[in-house]
Amino acid sequence: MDVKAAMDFLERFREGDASAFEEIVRAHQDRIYNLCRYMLGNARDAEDAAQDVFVKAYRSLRDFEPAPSFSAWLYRIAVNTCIDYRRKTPFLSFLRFSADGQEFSIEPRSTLPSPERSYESKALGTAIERSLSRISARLRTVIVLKEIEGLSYEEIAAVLGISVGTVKSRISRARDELKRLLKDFER
Amino acid sequence: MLKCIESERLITDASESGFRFVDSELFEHLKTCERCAAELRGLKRLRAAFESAPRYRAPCRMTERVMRRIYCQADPRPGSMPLSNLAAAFALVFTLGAGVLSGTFLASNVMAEAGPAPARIDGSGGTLLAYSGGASDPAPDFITGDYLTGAEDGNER
Repeated sequence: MDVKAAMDFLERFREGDASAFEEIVRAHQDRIYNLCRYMLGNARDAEDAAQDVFVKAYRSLRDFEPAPSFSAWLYRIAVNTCIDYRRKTPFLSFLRFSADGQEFSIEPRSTLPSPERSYESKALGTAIERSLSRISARLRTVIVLKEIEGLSYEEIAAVLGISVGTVKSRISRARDELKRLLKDFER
Repeated sequence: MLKCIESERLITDASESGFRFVDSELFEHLKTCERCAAELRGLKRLRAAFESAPRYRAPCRMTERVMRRIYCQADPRPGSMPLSNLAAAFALVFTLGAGVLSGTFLASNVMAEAGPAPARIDGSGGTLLAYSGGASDPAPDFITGDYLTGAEDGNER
């Protein structure tokens, strides 16, 4: 969703068109869910958290200012929501009763020719998911925003409210840790 | 000749471009420096891992669930919070009940075996298993004796 479209939806929403928000949810739900999925590491918490993100956004949408961008604002809510979820004690997730939705993943297009290579690629994808769950939330946030969500350094800085230099340094540390963890998984 | 510290910066730059552009000086440096070559291999592996990682799509009907929650603003988590509270309350009641029952069992069985008077713990006889003092029972010596007067060997003021 580009900036103009987002602002059109917001304008309609502010004029009392509640369905406009539904369109906003549809437009952003995959990216927000994907972020929550990588931040929290499981489907159930990710869905609960993603729902919370949109409910929080709805409640504070009337106060939204165009800077930073709508996506950055939504990402910021998502990151804070996921950090709150991680702080909760693990047993609480067993007391959550959100309906089990079916989860779909988009397999990255394999440029590798053989089934063996395809299997290797899948194993590598699993290894990076497991490695991500081992690093600190602070480092995981920046690396997921950069490598999974594809945000630029400047966008990440806007989402997290930190300097570009800090983003770069955290990404560098995250890469170092992930390289080490990947090696461990591949042994 | 490129130094390793400059090489690391160029490797990071190359990583940003998805390794499409590798500086020619870096290329020469990598031929002779195994440490930097290993750094490059590690970053390439990491890049491949991120490219292989799945991208998840939101579950079906998530939009509907979000909108339903929004329309029920009075209860921000319709259906889920009352259930979770109920489960937590049930767990608490169950734990307390189990505690009371096991306490009653121990009191009735173990005390029946131990007899009405508590064994002493001062070494003069037996092992103290439990003490059930009634209101009319005289307090045993280990409660009324020196223990409460504060007289201890070696550290009196």
